[in-house]
Amino acid sequence: MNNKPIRLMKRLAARLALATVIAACCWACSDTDCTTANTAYVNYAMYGPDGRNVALTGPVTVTTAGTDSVIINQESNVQLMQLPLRYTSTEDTFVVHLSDILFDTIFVSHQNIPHFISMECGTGMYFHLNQVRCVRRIFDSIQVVNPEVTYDSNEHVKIYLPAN
Amino acid sequence: MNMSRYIFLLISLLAVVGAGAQEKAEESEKQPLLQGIAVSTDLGGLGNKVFGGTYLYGEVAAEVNLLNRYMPVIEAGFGTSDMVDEDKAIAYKASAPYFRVGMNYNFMHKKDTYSIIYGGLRYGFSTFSFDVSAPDLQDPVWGGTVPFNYEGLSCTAQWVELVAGIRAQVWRNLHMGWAVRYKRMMSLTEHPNAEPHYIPGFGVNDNVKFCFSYHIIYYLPLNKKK
Repeated sequence: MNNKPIRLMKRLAARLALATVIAACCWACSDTDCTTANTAYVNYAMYGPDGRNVALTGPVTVTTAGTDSVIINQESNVQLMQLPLRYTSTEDTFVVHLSDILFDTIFVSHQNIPHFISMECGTGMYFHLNQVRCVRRIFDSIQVVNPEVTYDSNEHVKIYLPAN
Repeated sequence: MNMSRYIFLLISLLAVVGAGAQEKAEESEKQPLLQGIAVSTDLGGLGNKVFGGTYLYGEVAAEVNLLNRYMPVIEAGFGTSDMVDEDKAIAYKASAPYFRVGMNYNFMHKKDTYSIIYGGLRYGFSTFSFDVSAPDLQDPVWGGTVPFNYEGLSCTAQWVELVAGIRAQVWRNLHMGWAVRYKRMMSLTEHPNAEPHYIPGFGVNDNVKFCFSYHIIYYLPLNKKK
């Protein structure tokens, strides 16, 4: 009796089983990393004239011009401000108050970029910063260092404070 | 830069293997270079759809057997994805052909059989366009919405694959087999508004992927030993 076909089928079954196990293991290792937040913020970091990180010591309040929205309310020791941008506008204006009479105004010109991240993570709004300027009542100067605003925690804008 | 490095590596490896084939051909004058030809189809795409996957593909391949050791192969297929995530109400659509070229190495070349264990390399590419639509984006701070609907975003993807597989004779010239594929994306066109979710020939978008394929193969031996 010829057992060759049976031997071949047994060998085939063993090989297929092994391959299936390997493939299943490989599939199990694949996973989707979806750690994005819901809103992309522009990160403004404070610097002294010597280029070192500094903090605004007094209570800081940030409002948006033309509305009564308060973004930051009476926060002390502010080294980094996270401010949102408007989805339906390409110009935003923020007023940074150190007191009732001491304040500065930041003007932000930006592009809004609706973005599909993935089926798992959904969609979100990214931004491209075209220009940032300030009135220079408190701040010495302001500079865009990373114009692409996504869900990362990168520093996007540097605000330089005067020496005194 | 990285892409050219990958292509250089792939070409170098194929050249080394090709040179080896030439040497072996010279060594064994009795053994003809062309041992057989094979055509195959991958049923993995159909299986993926049947078992609830989000994409469907069909693929055929042509392979030549050189010295029963080296097996240059061309693979061509058509991949399509038309899916809706009902939770997020996101719809994604892409359909396009894809191509791969590469070579397999038969680890059982000493045996006069096409029931083999093999490893191989592939270079794959696809040029395609995709549509994606989602609910309007809502501004969480000030309110207001922005529509989200993009059509015809064109993309080109290039990737490399490491392949390991087995084949076994089923009946006469008919064979079947599995292959495990490790895929690594080399380059992908970037769009400001969207990344492709599904890439024909590669699968769901990721830098690295593992997947497997199931093949039905018709092998025609041209120099079968008596």
